[in-house]
Amino acid sequence: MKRKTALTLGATVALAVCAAFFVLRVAQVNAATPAPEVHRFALGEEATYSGNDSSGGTVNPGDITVTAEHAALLNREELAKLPGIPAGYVDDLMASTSANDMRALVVEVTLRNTTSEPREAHVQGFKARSGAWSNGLFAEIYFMLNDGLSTRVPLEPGGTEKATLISLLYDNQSNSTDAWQHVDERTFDLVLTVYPQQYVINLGQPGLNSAPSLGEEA
Amino acid sequence: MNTSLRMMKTECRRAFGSRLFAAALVAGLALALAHLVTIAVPYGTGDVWEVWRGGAKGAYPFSVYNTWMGGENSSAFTTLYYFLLPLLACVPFADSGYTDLKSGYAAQMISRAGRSAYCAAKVLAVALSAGTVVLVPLVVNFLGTLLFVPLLPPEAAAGTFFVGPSAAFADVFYGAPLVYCGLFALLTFCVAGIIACLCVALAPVMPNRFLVLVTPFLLCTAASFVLAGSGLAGYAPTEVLMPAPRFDVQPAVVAVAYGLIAGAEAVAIARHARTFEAL
Repeated sequence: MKRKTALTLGATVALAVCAAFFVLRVAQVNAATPAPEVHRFALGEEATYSGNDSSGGTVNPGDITVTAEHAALLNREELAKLPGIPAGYVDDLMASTSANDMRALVVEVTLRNTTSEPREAHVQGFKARSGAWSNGLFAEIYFMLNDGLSTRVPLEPGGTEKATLISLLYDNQSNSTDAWQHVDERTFDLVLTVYPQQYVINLGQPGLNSAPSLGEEA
Repeated sequence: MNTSLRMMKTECRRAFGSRLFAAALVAGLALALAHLVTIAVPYGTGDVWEVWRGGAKGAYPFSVYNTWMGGENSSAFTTLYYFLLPLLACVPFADSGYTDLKSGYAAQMISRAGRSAYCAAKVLAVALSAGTVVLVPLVVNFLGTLLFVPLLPPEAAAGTFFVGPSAAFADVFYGAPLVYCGLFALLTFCVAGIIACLCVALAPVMPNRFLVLVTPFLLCTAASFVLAGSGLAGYAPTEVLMPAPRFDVQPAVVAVAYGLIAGAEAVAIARHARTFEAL
């Protein structure tokens, strides 16, 4: 009986020590790579961001600001009416009939360089997100809508530049027909950077907004 | 009632105390540890992945949720584990229905405890041992991955997580990833039990023990091949259990399909029990 008690006690102590080491190690690993610090901005609010761009360059906090002026979720017909889109334009995925329906998330942004040196805003690193869905810039239509403006938008010291960002959603990216039928009710975000600081502009429900008036005089 | 409980305890003791259970568990753990050593450890400590771990060039670091064996679907050990899962589930105790019938043990137990008690105990022990032997390696792998890779929340905008927007419960994955993993753990446990109970249902009609044991594995492999390339590829047992899905499925269809299989097995086992003659 004594031997059994000693064995049980020894096993319990060993288990407790292992559990303690496990917890400490997990805490150590997570402390070295913590969860991203999320900064949220609203539509119309001047958002700042910081971090590395895709080419390895560094954006310091506040160097460049992004204001999402307007966001809309357009169907094929509405997209085709935007200035710069050629008549009868169909994107590759729709042309290949992999998808039966699509939406285009169009976001008009104002980029501002707050520094005294020229900067570039790498808009190709901005991602649209809604729940499990995310997509980057659709470059082909971006160039059409922005008169060939580079995805590395050049900004003069103290200068601003307007750009129209576009990401495409397809019905085969939904996990049910019902989900696609309610796609216009989804809320969307524009994610400027993901890690270690995450800057997110809440675009609300762009499916309820009208198409942007691109290039039209007021 | 006491008899039924005693029978269940006896069968469970036989299932969990067998050498085959230990062997299947060791095999599963070997795959889980191999995955840990070849995937999680390099991601967490290797120089090659230093850039990713630090979030350089705007990258989102590795997380447990896209590194553990169930969180990715491209490594050899993950593919091998899910391919062998039907076999691992059956090895511990699934053929005991056949061996009990042939040895006369079933007749002895039925005469003492009754058909219902024996069959219920058999099915429970087979299902529990099958579910346990496939789930433990996954849990060990997840916990082991935690020692090397941080538990960062899944980020859709990162583009590095294997759960796409069209996957079942994708919103759950990005909103509550532990709940998502728990759902798949439960699914894996249940489907492993259903696969193993197929052996019990087939035991009276199979010519030998080996066929009883490998038939579910062969059927699952055949299902994978037959369904591959079709819109139903994701419903094969080895695909439907992967938390990092390669194909899209509808959860309701999965529930109905595997529920029907379980129901058919239950009917077959009940019928065999009713028509069983000890003498």
